[in-house]
Amino acid sequence: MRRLLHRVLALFRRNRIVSEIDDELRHHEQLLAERFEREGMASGDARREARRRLGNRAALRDAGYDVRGGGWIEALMHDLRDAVRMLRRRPGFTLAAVAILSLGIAASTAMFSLAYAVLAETLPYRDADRLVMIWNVYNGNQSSNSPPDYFDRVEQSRTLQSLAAFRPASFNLTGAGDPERLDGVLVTASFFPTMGVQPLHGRWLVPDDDAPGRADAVVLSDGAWRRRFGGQPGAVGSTIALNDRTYRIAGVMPERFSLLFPDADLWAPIAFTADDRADDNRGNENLSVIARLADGVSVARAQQEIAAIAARTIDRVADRRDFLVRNHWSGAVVPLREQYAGDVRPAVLVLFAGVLVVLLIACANVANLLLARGAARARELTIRAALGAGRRRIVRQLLAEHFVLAIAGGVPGVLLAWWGVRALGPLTRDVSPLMAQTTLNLPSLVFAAGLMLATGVTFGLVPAINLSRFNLRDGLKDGARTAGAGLRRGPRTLLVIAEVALAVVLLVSAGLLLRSLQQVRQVHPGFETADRLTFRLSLPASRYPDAEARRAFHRAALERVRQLPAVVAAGNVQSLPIAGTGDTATYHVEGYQAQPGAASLSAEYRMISPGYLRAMGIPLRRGRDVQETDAAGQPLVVLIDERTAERLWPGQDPIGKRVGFNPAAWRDVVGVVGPVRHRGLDVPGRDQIYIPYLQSAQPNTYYVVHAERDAEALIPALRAVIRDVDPRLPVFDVQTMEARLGASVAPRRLSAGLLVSFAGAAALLAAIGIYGLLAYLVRLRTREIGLRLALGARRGRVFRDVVATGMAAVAIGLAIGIAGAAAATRLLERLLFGVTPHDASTFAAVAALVAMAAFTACAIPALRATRIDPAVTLRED
Amino acid sequence: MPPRTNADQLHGTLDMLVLKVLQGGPQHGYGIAVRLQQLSSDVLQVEEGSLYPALYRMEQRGWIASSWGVSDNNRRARFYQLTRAGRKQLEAETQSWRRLIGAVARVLEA
Repeated sequence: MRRLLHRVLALFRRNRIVSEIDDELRHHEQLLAERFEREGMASGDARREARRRLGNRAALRDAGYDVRGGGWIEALMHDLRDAVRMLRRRPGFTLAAVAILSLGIAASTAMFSLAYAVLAETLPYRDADRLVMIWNVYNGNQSSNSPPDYFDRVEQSRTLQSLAAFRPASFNLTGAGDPERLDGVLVTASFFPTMGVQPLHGRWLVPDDDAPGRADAVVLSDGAWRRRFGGQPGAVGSTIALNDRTYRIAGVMPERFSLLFPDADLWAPIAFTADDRADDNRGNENLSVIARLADGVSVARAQQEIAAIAARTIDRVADRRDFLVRNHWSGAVVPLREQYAGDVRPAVLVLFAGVLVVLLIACANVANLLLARGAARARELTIRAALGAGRRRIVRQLLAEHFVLAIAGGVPGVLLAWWGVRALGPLTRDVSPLMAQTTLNLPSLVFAAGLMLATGVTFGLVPAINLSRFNLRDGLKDGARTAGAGLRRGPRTLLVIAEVALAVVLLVSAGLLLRSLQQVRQVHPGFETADRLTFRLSLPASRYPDAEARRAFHRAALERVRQLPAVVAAGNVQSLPIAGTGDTATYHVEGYQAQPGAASLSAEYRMISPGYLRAMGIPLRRGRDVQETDAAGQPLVVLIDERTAERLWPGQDPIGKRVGFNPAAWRDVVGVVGPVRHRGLDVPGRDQIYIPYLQSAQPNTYYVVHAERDAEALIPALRAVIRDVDPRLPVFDVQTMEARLGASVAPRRLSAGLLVSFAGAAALLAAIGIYGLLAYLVRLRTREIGLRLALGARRGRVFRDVVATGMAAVAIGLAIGIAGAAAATRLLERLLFGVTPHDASTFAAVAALVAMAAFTACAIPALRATRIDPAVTLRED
Repeated sequence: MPPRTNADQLHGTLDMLVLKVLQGGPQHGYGIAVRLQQLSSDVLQVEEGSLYPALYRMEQRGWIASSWGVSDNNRRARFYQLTRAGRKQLEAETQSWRRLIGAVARVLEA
């Protein structure tokens, strides 16, 4: 260490060190000369003899300086200075290499960071890989847990160390200022210990808080604490009014805890009552359950146990047994990460592969650039070797150049990646909570930078390696132009073929995703989106204790909304298509017996107010809409979608038929409506049933308003109307239906957009590669072409020759790429919609695009070849 | 005049000899060369071309330290002196040298 410091310091004192060495040697020489004089020599002879004895002064000085001076550090600095000078002398090459390096590092680092966040990064909970989610399963589909299911598992499980149940809930925060809507999560007291994250301030919820009839403590999220309480630690212990009840703030969770709960402002006790836990509440499946595996227990073992517990439950509950057996009811254990990464995993893997391809092409391009430059420099290096530069010295200098190049490309690359991840984060909010909080991460950076560096070093050293193969005399004898001809062009052509093939695979994949996005956008959702404004309200149970109170509110609110000028229609619904999750339930049809073994009938059902269908633009095909008179106590009625009606009663009039969720309460079909894509444009709708909201105990929350024009201009008027009806009710989640529909295709848009930009980058890089190869070949053949032109060859013929050389490589690359794409797109299947993985038009379009781009890339050097002046070339050599 | 031998003829011995000379006190380069010649009764003669690199190398290794001083005849000269590490080095080299000499002698007398 001290020696290193000495070396560095020496850099700044070079002159002094040299002059000291000189002084010392001069002193020695003088003393010698004096001695020789004393021994009897003439004074001139003595001085000459002394000088002779000391030998080569410069060599001595150098030997001294090697030890005393900056040594290897100085040599390194020297090499780096040389490298910078060298690179500045060829700005075209340097700029191209730096641009490719930085783009490659930026794209791959940003994408790897996203992928890493979803696939590998540790979740911010204690031993997060031991956390699992528990679900009910019907016919293989996950479903939420009922409270009695949860307690069965808590009581009987041995493979799970602890379990916690939670479900989303919303709270109207009142007090100072406008009422605000807070999203919360109701949790059992076991929730925080199971997650294993300590609060930032205050304490967790404890079993005492979770006792029925108490439930008066809440834990805030970091975000809500900062927003509402300015991040004051004193907020802990104070009280807030939620849904018109008083809660005490027990604690604040740290920011990272919110990763899987990005919308939660607070956690409140769920406080199960004895009624909640009763067996007859098994139909009420509204809980998520998270659990921690006991030490040494595998997911598979926990799965076995949960299935066994479910089997015992089936035996125990006589009245539901048939239903549960028929629907193959059981329980499932899913690792936490799989739960949250599962949906986006295919997209992330495809994008990951995509960026890897871009990185490979970028590497190939850098390799090609370096090979071309190596060829151009072969003569220079040969001369230097002939002048006595050791091979080590030359390798050292080449390494220094690549080091400088890597830094010049790497630094902007990292900055670009940092910016890219920040720009991508918000876009990924609708895709995965894990992605939205991604930051640039080190493993990705090391990977991308390492790969680029390795490429640079490997291919950058080719000239040095060639030098040893190369006979110095031949190198010098060759003309200046042909100095590189001794290097084979095979590797360069192979690299270009690989680039084209990879770009084709990527372009086809991107094309298929783009086509899918187009197809999804063309799907008619079954409702209208233009000029539709939607918002949510939540009536707190404390002030709206029963259906009658809620009905009175909604009636008054809807009436006032409809009276606003420019409102065409208004209604409300329990859950909006696309936006809300909505519920699915098993239903029965009078006089219809399911085939034994066939799945039972299941429908998406929604409670709607009069006017909802009109406000959403869902067409009424037959019969009538729901009315205010379809209230509790009146005949029970439903509307059904036409596809289901046609299937259940083919060729018959569905009006007057009867269906029901419970055979004891049949409902008359009074209307038939158009089918709606409730779960997303790319998910075909199931059977759909609409129930008058006055005949249901469940509260509606979504309002839809159809405006004559410019729906968003209505927002202030709507808020005022709701404030008039109930000043303590916050209006929240205000969005146009267009925005909601747009958000639903956000993941598709994001992955298509990213892959298209990767493919674009790949195509551009490949085109640069083709161009570079041909430009190089033309340079090598200048003399030959000049000779041919001099002998009367036509310029068109020369152009065709050069283009043909390039296009031959492109054709091979294209063929390999198409074959590769045909195999690779199978992996895309899950992301496609409305196109097959082998969509001929996409393949054809990509082939045409690549051929055109490649032709352009070939044409430029070919044109240059035709302009070669034979007289000039022939004179040159 | 007895035949002269280059002091560095046996690899590594020059370092040991220089250290030995410096054991007698600080000395400049010329002085070291003269002293070596005297101590060896003119048998060992050190080449300046090897002496100075050896001095710089040993300084770098921390066996000797150098400073500017004034020589006997009032001239500015660079003086070298033994450090603690140099003393240890000298001891180690002397021992291994003795072992080597002894072994060689036994072989020759066998």
